[in-house]
Amino acid sequence: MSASKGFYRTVCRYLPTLMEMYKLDELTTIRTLQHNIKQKFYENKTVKDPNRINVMVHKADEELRLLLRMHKQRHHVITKYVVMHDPFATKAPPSGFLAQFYASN
Amino acid sequence: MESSRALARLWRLTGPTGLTQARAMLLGRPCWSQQQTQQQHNSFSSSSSSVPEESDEEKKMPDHMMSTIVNGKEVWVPKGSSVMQACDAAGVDIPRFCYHPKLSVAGNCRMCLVDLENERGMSPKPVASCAMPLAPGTTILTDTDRVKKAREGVMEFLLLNHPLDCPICDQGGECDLQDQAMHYGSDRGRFVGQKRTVVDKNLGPLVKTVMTRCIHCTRCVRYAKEVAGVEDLGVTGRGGASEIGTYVNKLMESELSGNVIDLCPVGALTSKPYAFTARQWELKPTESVDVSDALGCNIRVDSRGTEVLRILPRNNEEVNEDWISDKARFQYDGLQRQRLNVPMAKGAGSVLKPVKWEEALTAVAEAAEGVSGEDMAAYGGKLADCESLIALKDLANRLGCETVQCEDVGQGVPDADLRSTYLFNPTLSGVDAADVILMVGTNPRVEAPVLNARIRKAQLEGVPIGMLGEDVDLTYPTTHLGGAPPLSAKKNADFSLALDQARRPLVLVGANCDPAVMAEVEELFEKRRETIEDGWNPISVLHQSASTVGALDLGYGAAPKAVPEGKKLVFLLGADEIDVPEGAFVVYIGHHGDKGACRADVVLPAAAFTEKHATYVNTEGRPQHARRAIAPPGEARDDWKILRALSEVMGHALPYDDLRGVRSRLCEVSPTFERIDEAPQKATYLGPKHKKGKVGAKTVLRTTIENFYQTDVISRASLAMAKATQARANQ
Amino acid sequence: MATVALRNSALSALGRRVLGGARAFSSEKTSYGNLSDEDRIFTNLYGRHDPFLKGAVKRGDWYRTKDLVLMGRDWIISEMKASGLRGRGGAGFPSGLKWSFMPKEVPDGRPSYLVVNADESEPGTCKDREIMRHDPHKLVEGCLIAGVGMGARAGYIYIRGEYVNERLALEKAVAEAYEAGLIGKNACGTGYDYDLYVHHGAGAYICGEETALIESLEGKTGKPRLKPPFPAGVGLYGCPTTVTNVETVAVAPTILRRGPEWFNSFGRPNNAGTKLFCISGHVNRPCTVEEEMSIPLRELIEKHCGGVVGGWDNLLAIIPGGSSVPLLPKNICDDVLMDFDALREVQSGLGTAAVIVMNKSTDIVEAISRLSYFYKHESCGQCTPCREGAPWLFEMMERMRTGDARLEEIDMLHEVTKQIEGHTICALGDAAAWPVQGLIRHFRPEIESRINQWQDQKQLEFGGTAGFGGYNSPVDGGRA
Repeated sequence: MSASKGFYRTVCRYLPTLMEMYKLDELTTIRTLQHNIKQKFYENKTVKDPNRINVMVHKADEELRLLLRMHKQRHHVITKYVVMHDPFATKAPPSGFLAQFYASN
Repeated sequence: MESSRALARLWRLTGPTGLTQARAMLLGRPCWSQQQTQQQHNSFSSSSSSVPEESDEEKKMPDHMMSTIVNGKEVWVPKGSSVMQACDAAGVDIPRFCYHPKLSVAGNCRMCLVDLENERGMSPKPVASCAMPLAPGTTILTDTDRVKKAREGVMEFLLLNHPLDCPICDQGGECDLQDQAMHYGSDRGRFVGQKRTVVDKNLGPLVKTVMTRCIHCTRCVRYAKEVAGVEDLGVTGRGGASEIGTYVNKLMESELSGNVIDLCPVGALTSKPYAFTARQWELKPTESVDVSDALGCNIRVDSRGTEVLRILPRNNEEVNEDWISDKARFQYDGLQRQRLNVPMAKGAGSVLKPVKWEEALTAVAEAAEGVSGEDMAAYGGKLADCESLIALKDLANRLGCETVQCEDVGQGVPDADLRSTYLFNPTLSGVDAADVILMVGTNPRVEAPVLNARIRKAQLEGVPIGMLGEDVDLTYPTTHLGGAPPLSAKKNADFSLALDQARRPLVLVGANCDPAVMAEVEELFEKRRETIEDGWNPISVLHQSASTVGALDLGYGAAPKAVPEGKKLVFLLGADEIDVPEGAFVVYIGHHGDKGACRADVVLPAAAFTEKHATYVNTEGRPQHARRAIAPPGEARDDWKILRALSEVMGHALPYDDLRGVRSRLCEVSPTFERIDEAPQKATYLGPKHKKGKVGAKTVLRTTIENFYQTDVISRASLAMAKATQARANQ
Repeated sequence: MATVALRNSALSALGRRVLGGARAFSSEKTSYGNLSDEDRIFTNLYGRHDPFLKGAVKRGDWYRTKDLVLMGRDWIISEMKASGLRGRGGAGFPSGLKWSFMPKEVPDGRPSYLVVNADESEPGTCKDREIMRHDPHKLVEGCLIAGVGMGARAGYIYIRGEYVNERLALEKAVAEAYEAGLIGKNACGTGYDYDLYVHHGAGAYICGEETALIESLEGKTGKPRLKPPFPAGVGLYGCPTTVTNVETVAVAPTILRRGPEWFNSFGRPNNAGTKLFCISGHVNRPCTVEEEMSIPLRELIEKHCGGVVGGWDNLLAIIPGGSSVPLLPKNICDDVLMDFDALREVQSGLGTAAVIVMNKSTDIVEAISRLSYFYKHESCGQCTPCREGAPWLFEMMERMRTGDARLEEIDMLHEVTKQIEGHTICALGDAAAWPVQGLIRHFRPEIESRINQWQDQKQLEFGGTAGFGGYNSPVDGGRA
């Protein structure tokens, strides 16, 4: 079993706790949250280098610890794992004009 | 209003530093710089009065001027001026209610009383300055005790029976009576009796009446009779029981009825749609132009927040004088209804669904893939501005498409390269100079009511008016010369004679006349070419839509009634009256969900004329700017920006990114756009341009407008216009 | 020479004495009145004779009118000027001068018109109706003469709608004159074409104002026009027009026949001629009578009307010139002369010489209030001061009548009349203001006593401060 799969299970085990800690049941269900987490893992499915995987798992594990210690705030969790994208982040535009055009008149 | 226009023009001439001087000059104060003043005087000869400078005492007074002294200050005015005009020239404020420069003088409000003094002494009683011609050697005094008393007295009388319901009156804040009562009235009233009350009249769905507020200045009566040409209003009863009304309950059957609202100095006649909506000081005024017909009437758009709350005329002597049509004034509520405010694309089941801009544009780009330019077509609509028209044309050309046409362009335009073949050549103010007018297949009363008022003015001065086509009521008598060509003026000998002798004939051609009729008309003048004055071109084409002349200037052709079969990709820039066959992918760029949007595969929401900076060219070829009063609703964007974005997504990015860029592209295409607000130089008549053809003698020439109140997407969406249509139908 | 011959023959034909005697005394004349029968112009004022052509010719009308016409325009005007005739309609403008304002030649070929104002609506005035029903040929002939004098192509007689019999008589007279060739094409055989039309109004007082009359004649609402332009430049149908009173026109032929010196010999300087006086009200025999100008008012009443009801001492006030002039109290009436200048000196006016006599049985405030009602009713409503002011005057006068007012309001009333006077398009505003001004000038104590009496009575009724009307009541500290 690879490191990532093991870590995924760990996360899933903590999900109910996190739901309760950050009062996420108002916003989502465990299933969707689990699905979202799975997406996060799949985003990096192209990475095959075990060293890189180890580093990434390590960093994720750190994040999990921070979360469990309530070192993150609720909206951070929501943005990152519930909504899955930052509404304030702007994508890099194709050109100056089009960017402005998509943003507003 | 005139002064603000002049100011705007001076701004362009002199830049910001010249403005203070310009304003000083407009107010009749001496300017600092002699040279500057001279230049300004030359720059607008319409200014009727001037003030002699201290330094040029030796300068001889021109023959047509006379001098007088107002409150100890000398002014020069043209001979034949009234005392009031002299006071205005001197910058002395004369209160007034009944006087209006565009109407006959009634002299009945008695507010403008002044004292006159000549070598025989003071006038025995104060005189009404609006009606008194200025005699040589007369001195005008407006600050004597007698004048002050007289004004105060008249003001007290006016307020006797005025309800003083300013808090619930729509005129509050812009009321002549309110303002002048503050300046000239007493601080208290002495009347304790019962005030007069008057039953309100029903003048239809546009004009609201509160007749108790009426001060009997009779401006509305004179306007209806003299300008609108409908004898619907009058004074009934006499003395204190006088009432303004229609006598029998009927609506004011005029396309220009809304102007009585501006004329009424009190709140007796106000706008029904605008009633209880806003106070004048809450509104943001934006100077713009009207697009409901091809005249390009100058308007002021009053808005608050995201809503246009009313539209008022702006004075422009060369275009609309002080008037606008009811459609221009009241159609604004259509800007709130039926709006397209999100991009839409046809998804599964061929139903339009809201999508993001990226998706919508991508959908168009995908549809265009593999389609050759010959299978594409681009059509401009009635309300399209020049910026978007040029963007559409540039895009179409880049895609290899040469079918670039505009709806509502008449079939009679032979040669879009020669501007004088499709313009109103004598210019609108040239109507005043014409000595005979012939109308061919047009009904200016519904196509351009403001122009109709101008023609009526000419008719009242004795200009003979001939009419070829449907015999319609134009509010003035015309000589009917038959329903269709052959155009022989012989049917009426008098008119034929007038035509023969005319030095400045004007032939008003409806935009939908076919080339053969145009050829007949030209032949008529070919025979009389010798008598026509140099520099005068009688051909005056009256277009029906705001976009037409701009489109012709930019190289658009006349659009057919239906898109030809075989077109695979069709761009509709607000074009709603063109039928598109099955099988074509339709991109609709426009602001109202009308017929065009229903047929579309992709809908790109655009801005209406109040929501963008845009250029429109009117029927006489005068380009004018419409300015943004409010933001476009929802996701809507300026039309030309949509096309610019689309071009980038389609891989043919247009080379302009901002308004300045588009406008310089406009100037590249046609030098017309370099002279904003100016009509083209008068072109000498060059002779026939149309090929002769066979004219169907049976068909009576007529306008294509069936209902004046509902001609385009905005007016069709307007509740006020729908009510007006219904009221007219029920009359 | 021709004139003298004409005149002499005219006089001898009428069997009158030679003029000389009357003229000899004219310069040092000091007493006026007592007009002798042979000096009367209107010899059928009371309808005792045939009013129509036959009778009229018998009385000397239409006698050698042809010669008068052929004397020409300038002669007629100079004779009229020399006669010193002043307009009999009320304003008293010199007639010869007024006629001379008509343009000699209009470059664009517009015709000129004479309009005769027979819309005699001033309360108390009934002189023109006597002329029209009993001596219509004087008017018809006058119209021809005056028409020639001002170069008019046609004349219009605008007759008051209520005058039905007068209109019938006049129409008959005009028809007779047409038939006899006296007017119409080649009038009197002079080669001069002159048409005369009788038009009747609908009974509005304001149509007696010259420009309103023109409007009405054109078929519009009778509302006065702005002046300038004056009718002599732009009048009926935009053509030069002169509007004159019936009496002014009717006396013209006689003046021309008997000479301006004869006419000028009556009355004080600048107030020449004879005049029809209509006396009504509290006199024993109300009548219309032709008398010399400048006749003392008292003599006029006592000689022709059998005196005031209850004797001269029972006199309260007299309105000397029709409803629109200020009234005169008895002490002025005692010795005032009836002419333009004398009445102006006492701040009244001759007007139409309609003398309204009121004795001490009159409620003078109510009488003036009734006049205010009349002007309120007859205001055309065109211009502000009259339209709004006249009803206000009436409202206040009604309160003055009962006394339901405050003393300060008398001054206010006077101020309001001053606010109307001189600020209107036509003279109706002035006419509404003057009677009230006259009342306040001469009968202020009467008004004051009424107000005091009313307050006393209310105090009795309610005890304490009376809740009277009027502005600025002390109870609420002034309703502004």
